[in-house]
Amino acid sequence: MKVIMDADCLIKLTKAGLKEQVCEAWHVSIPPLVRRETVDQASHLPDAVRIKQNIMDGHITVIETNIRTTKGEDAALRLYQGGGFDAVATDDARFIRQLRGLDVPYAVPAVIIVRLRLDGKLSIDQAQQALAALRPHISPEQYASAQLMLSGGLRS
Amino acid sequence: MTTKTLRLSDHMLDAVRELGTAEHIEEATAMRKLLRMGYDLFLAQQYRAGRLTIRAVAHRMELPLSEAMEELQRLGITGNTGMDDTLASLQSLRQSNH
Repeated sequence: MKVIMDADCLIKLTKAGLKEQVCEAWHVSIPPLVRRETVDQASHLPDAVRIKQNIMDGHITVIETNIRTTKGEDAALRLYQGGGFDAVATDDARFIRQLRGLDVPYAVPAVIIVRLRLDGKLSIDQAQQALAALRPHISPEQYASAQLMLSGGLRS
Repeated sequence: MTTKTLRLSDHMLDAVRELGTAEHIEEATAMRKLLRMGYDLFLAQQYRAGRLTIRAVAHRMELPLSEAMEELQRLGITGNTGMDDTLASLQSLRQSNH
């Protein structure tokens, strides 16, 4: 799966300690603006240090573009619309409304874990652990939905 | 800083004094602190309702995104996506090129 990730999804996966697992299974790209928001503007924070290292290691690809915008979501959407990606990864309701309106596939953090489980990249125990690590960083509704998905209670 | 004059009810003045006494700070400082706390709570509610992005919240809180997320967590807001957003996410990935 090739995804464009926005800043809030990237930071939440980083805080939950799941970024490496996700970046191993999926090809994660970000626009330069997201790098600026997550690394350059917060270089003193541990999250920023880890994301910067992932970029340097090539686990996260920064796609240089000429897109002129001050919003990471706009940059992510326009990169997606340029083609070559399967989905946009985000955890922001406002951005999701926009993506749904445009019929753009999107992945919220907990669904990334569910998808990795469905694709056989994570065992059920690993998926449960990952979801537990994400729990403090996502909405209770998202957590509960993902739990049901993992248990087979929601077949969408 | 700008100087503003405002009328406070006795109840709100008591609240300012209460905070000032509890934290050993001047009334003016207590008032500024209460305003900040109230504004942050307002921003958290706007984010929870999906009316503001985390970026807009961070900008208004004058914090990096990561720290704004932690501040929202302290206010009890861990995210703003609903069950419907989550289900639609899984469905949309199934329909994508993967």
